[in-house]
Amino acid sequence: MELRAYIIRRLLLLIPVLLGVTFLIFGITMLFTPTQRASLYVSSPQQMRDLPAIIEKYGLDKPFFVQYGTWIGQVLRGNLGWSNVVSMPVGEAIVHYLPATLELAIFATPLIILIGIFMGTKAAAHKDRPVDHGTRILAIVGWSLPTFWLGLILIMIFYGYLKILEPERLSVEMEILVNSAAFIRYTRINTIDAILNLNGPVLLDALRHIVLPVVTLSVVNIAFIMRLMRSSMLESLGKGYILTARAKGLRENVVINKHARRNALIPVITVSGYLFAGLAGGAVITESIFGYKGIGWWAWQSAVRLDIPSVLGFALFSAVLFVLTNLVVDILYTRVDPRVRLGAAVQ
Amino acid sequence: MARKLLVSIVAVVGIIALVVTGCTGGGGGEGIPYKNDGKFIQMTIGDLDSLDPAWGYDTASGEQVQYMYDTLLFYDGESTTEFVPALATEWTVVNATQIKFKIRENVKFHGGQTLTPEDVEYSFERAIVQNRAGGPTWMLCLPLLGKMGTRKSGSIVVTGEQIDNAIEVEGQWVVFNLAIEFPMIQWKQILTQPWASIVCKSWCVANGEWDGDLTGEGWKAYNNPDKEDSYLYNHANGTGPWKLSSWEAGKQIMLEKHTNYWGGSVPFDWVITKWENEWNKRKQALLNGDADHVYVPRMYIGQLEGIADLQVKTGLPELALDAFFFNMLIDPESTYIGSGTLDGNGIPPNFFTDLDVRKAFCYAFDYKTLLEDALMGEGKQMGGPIVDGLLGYNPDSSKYTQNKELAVAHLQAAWDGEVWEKGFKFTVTYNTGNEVRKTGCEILQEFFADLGDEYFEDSLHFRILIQAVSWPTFLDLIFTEDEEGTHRGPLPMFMIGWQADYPDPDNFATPFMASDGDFAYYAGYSNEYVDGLIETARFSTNDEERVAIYHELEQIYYDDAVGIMLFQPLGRRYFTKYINGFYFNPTIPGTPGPLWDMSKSES
Repeated sequence: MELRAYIIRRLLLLIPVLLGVTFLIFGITMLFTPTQRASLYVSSPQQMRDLPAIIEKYGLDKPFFVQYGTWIGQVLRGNLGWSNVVSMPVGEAIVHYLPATLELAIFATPLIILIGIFMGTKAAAHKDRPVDHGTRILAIVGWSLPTFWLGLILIMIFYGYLKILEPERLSVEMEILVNSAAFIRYTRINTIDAILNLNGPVLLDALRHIVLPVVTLSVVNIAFIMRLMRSSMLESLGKGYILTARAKGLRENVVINKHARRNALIPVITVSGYLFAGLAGGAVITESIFGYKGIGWWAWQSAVRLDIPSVLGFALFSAVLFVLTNLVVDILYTRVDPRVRLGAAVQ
Repeated sequence: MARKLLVSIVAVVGIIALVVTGCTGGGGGEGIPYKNDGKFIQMTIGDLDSLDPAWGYDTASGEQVQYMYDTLLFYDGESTTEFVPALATEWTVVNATQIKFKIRENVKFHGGQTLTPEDVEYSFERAIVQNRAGGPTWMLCLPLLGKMGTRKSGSIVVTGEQIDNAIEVEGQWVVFNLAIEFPMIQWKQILTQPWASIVCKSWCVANGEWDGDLTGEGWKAYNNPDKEDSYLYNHANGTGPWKLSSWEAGKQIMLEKHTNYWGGSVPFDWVITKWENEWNKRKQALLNGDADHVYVPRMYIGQLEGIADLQVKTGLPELALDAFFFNMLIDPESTYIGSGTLDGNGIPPNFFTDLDVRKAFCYAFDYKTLLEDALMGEGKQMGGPIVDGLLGYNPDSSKYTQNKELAVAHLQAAWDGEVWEKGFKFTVTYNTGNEVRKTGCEILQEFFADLGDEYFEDSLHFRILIQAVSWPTFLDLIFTEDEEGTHRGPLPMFMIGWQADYPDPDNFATPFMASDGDFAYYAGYSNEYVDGLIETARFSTNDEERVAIYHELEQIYYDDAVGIMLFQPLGRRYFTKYINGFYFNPTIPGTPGPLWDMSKSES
């Protein structure tokens, strides 16, 4: 009962959050002149003579509150507006581009978390020894690598030289196949759709294309989880119950893996939730570099081209995603750590 | 300690190895493999606006529309003035305001419908009824209705009857009744462009488009719609060689062969256009054989030199033109003109109305450096607005060259010697990322800094500041009208380019020189005599007279120093060696060229 009240309260909080976020973004876009915002609808100098008509048509010269009010009114009627950069309604664009991003997140998140936890545990268990230094150097290098640079280097090596892995989501042959009537796109997540269609070639092709972006995302993010896990583990290892466990004569790997690691996992779980939300909210650079066109790519294009309905739609999506992730992580706490009681927050 | 060092060294060496492999380019020299038989795959930048022929005004939309739709007639190979039949088998000019076309029989749309003359009538009427703001249909409205559009100040100013009377069906013929004496050559050029594509009436109506009724007021509801309100923006049913299979905006468009194409066999089973803004990926796709044709920015030309399996077509004169415009009526409130007076810390709003100032700037510009360095030789200096490939182009027109003595002489004469004595200060802008415009600004800045240094030992005596702004801001600064509806923009000078709507000199003379022209208006250039010449040439059916007028206009452009006329860009195309049949017609939108006449084979 307490949990339900907590969830409802958190969900209700979404409303002011969404209003605040969109109000802020809308306000910032108003710093641009009507002509600047009309440039989204202009692709050649010839169209300049019709700028006043375009401004009038989209009401770009109306006062801020009128424009914001119109937009809110449309949103309440379920219309998020039109995304000019991808030529479809904003709501449809989110649904259209989310699967690619989700596919990346689904593959990258477990990889990042598992490797991060493994390396972090090893580093802490071998503090100040070569394994620790090695993993720390890797972490610093991974964390410091600019994503776009790593992505380009991987493309050059694996696509340019070795010709074994490719950018984009599918090869041309498979793209034609998945767009044909012979293939049903249940989720638009290629790997899952390939399994549901029992289509091996598409599955293999999709996997071949997802390797490089997933590796890029992982290299950069593993470092973060690893560092967190290491410090959390070190803290755990210094606790009295570890001393007790060792005094009992337990084997070292049992001490590390069972007693220390479990307790050290709590902060990692928190961060993992945000990590998944972050990845599902769009890996802007990775998606753009690899032509893995998902929601991050869409958001970036929209921002660059001042596509205001798209930017607002993306902001709404991100806000909802993060609030929900927060909620899920909070609920997860109660399962992992019995000391946490959400009900207390309600009282 | 030693181990620590070892680990660090290994890590550093690993990173260096990665960088070195990355920086050496990739691709190797093993040749481009033959892939994707029967498919033409191009990778380019940007995206298209709409698949609706009456909507798209950008090159990318026009290109795809041209693959899927047909027009009544088409250009004969590389010519821009000779025509061959397409959906019309023959045509007759009845009189100065009437031309009729006989419609080809047994032509099938992608959806299986048979083409009728009513489809042709509907296509043009629909385009005019739609007449979206900022769209291309002014080119239909002007000859057929005598007006630039169907609206004025938001209200519809034409009647259904006028639109109805402009296009009539007579048996198998379609008659165009022009409202003004419009040169038929220009009208035919307009009819070959994508916005004159023929759509299927029954299919349009069945999918919620305008029903073809012009008798009541109902048609007005279809005027100036939102893009998404048109069913044709993302659906297509043409008679062209390829039909739409799928379009994912920003990602790719896939077109499949139209098996019932009236023109016979179609060379590619698939035509696939992928949009990829990242150059390295486009390059790798080309070198790996995954793309047959890619867009190559000028700065990367060197990376593709010496690759045997590539074919490069160069020196293709695009129907485009770039120039610096002087703003004769700068907004007095502008922050780009310093103090706003001739006190050495600014310029007055009417600074460029002085002919000597303009001439000084024309002589100050280093055309050679711009063409050789910024354009890497891919541009041809122009004297006036009529480019190579158009009627009236004059290769021997007067052109400015950099000349310090003359620049100094004109500067000393300008504003009764005040400019020379007090100096000036103002800001020029370019849109971020446009290296050619940036170089253009720097050339001027450098010249005047050196001049000040030489004559006044003060490199800031003639001071030009440079500011980079985003593209939307750049447009905003140029195309600004104040509250009284005048054109007083804040920029003292601006460099911008024009691309042809249709290959007629009027389409260049008007924007660059007419007082209501697209650019000249915002530069505040107004010359009644010039306006008269432009109008006479526009409506003249006598080619000799037109040529003479355009030559005169070019001379006036030079004498009047209307702007710093710069260059006509020369295009370049890259294909793998497996692609055959390319020829250059500057009116074909997009870079692949006439795909319907091209082919792909391993040998």
